[in-house]
Amino acid sequence: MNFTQRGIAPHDLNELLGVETTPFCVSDEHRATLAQRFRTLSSAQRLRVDAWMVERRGESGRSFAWSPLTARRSIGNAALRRSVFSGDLTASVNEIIDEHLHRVARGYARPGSLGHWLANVPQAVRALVASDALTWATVSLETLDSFGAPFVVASADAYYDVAGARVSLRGRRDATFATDSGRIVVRLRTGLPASTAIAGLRADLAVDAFSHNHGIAAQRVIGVWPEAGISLSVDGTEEAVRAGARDLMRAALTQHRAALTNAA
Amino acid sequence: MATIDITMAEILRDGRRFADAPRPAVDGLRTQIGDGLFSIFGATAAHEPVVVRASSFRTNDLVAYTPYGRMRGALLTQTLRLHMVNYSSHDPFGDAVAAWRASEGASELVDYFDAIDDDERARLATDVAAHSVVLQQRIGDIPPQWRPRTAVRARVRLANGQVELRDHVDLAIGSISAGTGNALVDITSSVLDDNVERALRFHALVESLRAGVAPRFIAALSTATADVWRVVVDDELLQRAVNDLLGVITQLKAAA
Repeated sequence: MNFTQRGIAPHDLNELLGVETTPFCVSDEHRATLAQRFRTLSSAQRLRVDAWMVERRGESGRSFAWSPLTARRSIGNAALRRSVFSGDLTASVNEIIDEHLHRVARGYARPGSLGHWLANVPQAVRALVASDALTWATVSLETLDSFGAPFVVASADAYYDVAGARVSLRGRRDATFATDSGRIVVRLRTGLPASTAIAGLRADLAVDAFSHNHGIAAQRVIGVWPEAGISLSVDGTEEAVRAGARDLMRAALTQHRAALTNAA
Repeated sequence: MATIDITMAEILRDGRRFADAPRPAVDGLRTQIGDGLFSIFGATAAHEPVVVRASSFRTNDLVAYTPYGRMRGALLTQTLRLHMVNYSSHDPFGDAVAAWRASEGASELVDYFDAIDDDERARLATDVAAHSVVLQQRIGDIPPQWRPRTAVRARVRLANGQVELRDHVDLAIGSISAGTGNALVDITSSVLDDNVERALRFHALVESLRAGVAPRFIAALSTATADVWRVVVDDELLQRAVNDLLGVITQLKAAA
């Protein structure tokens, strides 16, 4: 399996953009096989599987709750995308938060959404969310600039609903770099990479490939851990995409078994 | 190092005149620390990593490191974070507590805060309000172009994970990619002393190992005295930081 570990200095990151791998292409046959495997997990509940679960070998963590930590990526990335035009990250962060609040006021936000949470916290907490999102966006900008090439901040993560299986796969992506023969996907994570970090990157690679209109995998998926000063990357080969899909299946199976145990 | 009677923003702006100064070499730092760690640990691998933080370098038990002092420091960190997004507060203590509770999970400090009586809470409130005034007056206006980041964490593993350096910098500014380099700023509610100096060197070392590029400056602002320090990071400072680190790891290993 072809993977690389580097630091996060500009020369390290720039080197990771030099990739000559011909990306693997997911065919209709691959999609059908994936669907067939996931359909064996008959479940009343919809399963959502992502790289985080793969890294935890299918174990689900604590239930999700909005907090300044969980809100910062969504707001920070949206602000970073907007600041390409405005140039002012702080103003962009505040605009994004205001838009969430407006959606709530107009009745367009669903219960449990980020907007609803923001609307119900004290003003000082909203300011802290803005501060955390600003730091996320600034660290992301600094990291992405260090690659030394033009990038596009992703508008959303990659999602793939497996046909007829009640399973949603999510691939995390924060930015993409266009190359002569494809794209390179970058995702940023906090903390230290776990020993299963490569499996997580392969899972993101697989979801990104399956969610692509023509099934073309990214040439490379790069995970950057700015806090640790580490970058890891996986090339978009057939072997890596297959391994990613297998790991997602295993994580879903563990989730499915846990759901059955809880129900019993 | 000298105490300077201007705002943090002004001394950082003034520091840009050193922009062309030669940058310290960081390539050999990991190897040097690795060799030092080998002489401390030998070939045996530890089961749990030795964790080193800026607080590991404290040589005396200061008020700032009591639960009260840590609580005050934690609330001041929140005040800084709110200040950096231009949040104007009429109740610095109440706002800092709201922000701190939203960002802090279950912890020893949360238990401490919940257990203090009304008198102690009132004392903490007035203390935080006074320190917040100094913070807002002395930090100055940090322009967005300086790419300010607050509460920046770093975790660097050394010697195959035998040692883990964990750092938390209150404010980082500047950009490696844009060539200006970084500056790291520590806000402390205690006085500026040897402990702060060692903590600043630790910040510079961790940042050099993390980013692969040394920061240009490290700086500290005391909200107790309104003093501001700025130190240029050079080879000598990083060497002292390496010696501090190896010394403290030797002590931590002996105490384990």
